Amino acid sequence: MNILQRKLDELRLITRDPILAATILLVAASLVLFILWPLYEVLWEGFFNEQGEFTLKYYHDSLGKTENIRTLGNTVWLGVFVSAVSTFVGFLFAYADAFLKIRFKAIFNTLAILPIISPPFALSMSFIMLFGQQGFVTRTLLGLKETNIYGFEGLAIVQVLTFFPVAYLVLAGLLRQIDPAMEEAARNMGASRGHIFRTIIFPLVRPGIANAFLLVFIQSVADFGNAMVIGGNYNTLAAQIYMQAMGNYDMKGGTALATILLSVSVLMFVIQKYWVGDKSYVTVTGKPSRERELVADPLPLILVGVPCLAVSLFILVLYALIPYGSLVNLWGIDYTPTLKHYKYIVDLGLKPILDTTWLALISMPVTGILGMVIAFLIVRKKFLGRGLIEFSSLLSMAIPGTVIGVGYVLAYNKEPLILTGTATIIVLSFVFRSMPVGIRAGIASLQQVDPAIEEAAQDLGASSFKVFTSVTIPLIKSAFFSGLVYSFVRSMTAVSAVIFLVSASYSLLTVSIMSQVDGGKLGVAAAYSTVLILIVLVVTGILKLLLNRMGVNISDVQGG
Amino acid sequence: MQSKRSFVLLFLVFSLSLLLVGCGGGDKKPDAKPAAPAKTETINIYTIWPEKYSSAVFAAFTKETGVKVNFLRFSSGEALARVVAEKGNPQVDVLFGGPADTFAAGVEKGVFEPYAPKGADKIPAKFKDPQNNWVGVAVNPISFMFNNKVLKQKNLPAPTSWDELLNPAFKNGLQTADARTSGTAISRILSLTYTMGEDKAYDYQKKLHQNIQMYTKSGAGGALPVANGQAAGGIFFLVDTLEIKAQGHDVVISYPKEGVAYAVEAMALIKGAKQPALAKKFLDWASTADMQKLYETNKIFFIPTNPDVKVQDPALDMSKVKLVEVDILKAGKDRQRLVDRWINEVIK
Repeated sequence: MNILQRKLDELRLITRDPILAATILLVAASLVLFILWPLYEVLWEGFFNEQGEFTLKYYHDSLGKTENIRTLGNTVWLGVFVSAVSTFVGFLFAYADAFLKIRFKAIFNTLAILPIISPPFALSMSFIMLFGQQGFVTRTLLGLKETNIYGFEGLAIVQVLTFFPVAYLVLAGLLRQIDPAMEEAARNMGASRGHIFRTIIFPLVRPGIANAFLLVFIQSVADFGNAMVIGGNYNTLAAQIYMQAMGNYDMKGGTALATILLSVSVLMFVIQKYWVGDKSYVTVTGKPSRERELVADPLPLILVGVPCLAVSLFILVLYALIPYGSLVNLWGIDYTPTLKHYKYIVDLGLKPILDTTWLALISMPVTGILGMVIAFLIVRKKFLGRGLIEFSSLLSMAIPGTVIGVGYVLAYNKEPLILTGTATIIVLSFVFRSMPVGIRAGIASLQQVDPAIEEAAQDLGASSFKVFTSVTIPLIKSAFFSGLVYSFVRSMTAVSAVIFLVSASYSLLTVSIMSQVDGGKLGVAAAYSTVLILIVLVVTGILKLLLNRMGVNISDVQGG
Repeated sequence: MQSKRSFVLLFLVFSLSLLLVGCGGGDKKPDAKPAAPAKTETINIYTIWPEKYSSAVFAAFTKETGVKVNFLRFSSGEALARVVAEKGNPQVDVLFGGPADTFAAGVEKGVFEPYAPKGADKIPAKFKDPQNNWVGVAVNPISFMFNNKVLKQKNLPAPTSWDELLNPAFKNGLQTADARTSGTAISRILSLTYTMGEDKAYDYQKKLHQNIQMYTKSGAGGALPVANGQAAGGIFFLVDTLEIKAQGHDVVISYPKEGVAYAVEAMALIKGAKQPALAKKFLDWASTADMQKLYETNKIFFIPTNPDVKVQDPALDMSKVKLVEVDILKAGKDRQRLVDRWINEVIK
């Protein structure tokens, strides 16, 4: 009764503030319309036959097929394997970053950024260039002609290299926060480094390890680009959904698979967010009292530092191969320098390049503003349905792109909203796919701002709108702008959801790249990828320059 | 107080509708929807043929009749998925191009309106749906394509039987399409099941698997690697091999003597089309010999279904090739099972 009374009071408060009420309704409506409704369509499509009668046939068929069970097994096994290895590698890097006295730490940041600014299957491409049938290592150096990297091994290695930076970022943040005083105390009492590691450091970061594991797992099972490009006959759910729905004309079977994948991802997301995510023993110690004295012993340097350096260099080489591959005549056979792949792109038409850039630019401000508004509502306002808004807006982070792609096709192919084939649907998918990161950044920085500042403005008679635009936004502008940058980058490199949504009128770069890889035109694919990365670098560079002029520094806010 | 509350309510309704409008009509670019009823007549078509082929055909239709064509290009699976999803409110009048088994699947879903185009009586019955749901406008057989240089290196002639593909000299050297994503692969499997019987066909494919370097997602995916010599050869639709040859690559096209299946490229009237009269006008025109004569002049590498059209290019002459007649309806029903067997027995 008490709770109900309070909710009613909250409701009454909100109705007194029409702008706030309208905003809440708008935000809720947009989340329902563009996240929950498509998901609902995915879930229910598979329960009804062509005549609209209820049936379990499609789920029964999908779950009954040994092939699909194997695909599910493949997906989970790949996820577990990749997450375990990525977490381990990420931990090595984080340890090197926080504890070791080494010179090449600057590379680590680059490594963390590269997977974000390049197409999601970039490493698959470089891997094919090195170890494929016409690979530089396999064919040119070793003269092998019967190599096959398509399958579990190739996919797993590429996923580890793409996703371990996620684990690194999570763990590095934790390790840096550990107060060196504790280790020093232990050392003064005669504990060895190994003993300290086992009894102090490792227990402190254990929740972080679980967190990193789950975050990588979610990304691995949702990974569509690498699975399509290098997965070969090793089927995973994310790719199988696309093949079933689009290749086999079986939308209903596809949605049944999509539901399975969605369940796996959302389960992991809920575990990560509500069970593991907040459990960190490190923060209670507060800020480190002083800088740590970095380890310079040769043994840890060799055991940790050298592998990290080797992995870093290898990844840098892989990424460097993309622009290089775009400049040679025929990869693996004829390395004469040429610009013909770029000429081919120009001849084919610049439309996909321009379309992608424009649509990503259009969705950028929408994402940024909506993200900040939602973050503001979640942190600052109490209202009925706040939990739902928070959950559904962050949920879209856990939804695999192929699932939301199927959902958009189902939901917006009929009345009342017919959007398929338009630019609108692509922009919408960009916005709702990249918004959660902006929201997270917004929440984080809002929590550091004392609400008293906003309350003061409110008490002086400013409306909600005025408070938001004149007080809140200026206070969290760096989160706002890094949300903008991230949204642009993520839209440019998106592939899994939009592959269902592209049409003859609007084709996108990433989709063109994938079809070029499939057609064996590695040079053209590399050229497209290079152009994509250049656009990302140029646009984010211009944005940063403009923001620096305006006195905003976004480098301290991690977009990832 | 009362008036204030109703103001709030009004405001909410207003802004909500604004959102819906904003989302729905955010950009009024020329989508699949027809332009306003202007003087020029317009029809909307989903085409499965490559953009280059489609625009040549549609431009000729516009020139002939003055009817403008808005078209969107999709792969066969995507196009059908769209037509099915839009069943309640069709966005196009005609589905054009693409293999007949796509159309047979569409018939199952009830998305086509039977119509017998006027010019279609010339087209042999085997290229048409008995219920007139769709009409075939072109034929596209399965063929082998090999890189001439690689064959010379290995001192082998261009294969003329399915068994020659099993030659260990081609180990890891062939590329062909993945049955999970490509219609080419379905026609390849049908070629085998019709010439050998289903179980033998799968035994054969298991052996062939040793020689497959890669299964590509699209039917034409392996064509360029063959042209570049990264693969020795492969099994493709004729249209993809002739495209490669027209680009000047040194490849040789051949057929197995046991026979090959062929795809019938079809077109159909969409049920509930918004411009049925114009759509029928298009179907009538596209069934004529005049339309199919466009293929050779525009380098559209398909074989006409209308016997009145005579081809000049010997590569398009099918008189010496053994074609197996596939029952398209049955093939459509068998499709899923054949793909499942392929996944479970061949590539596992």
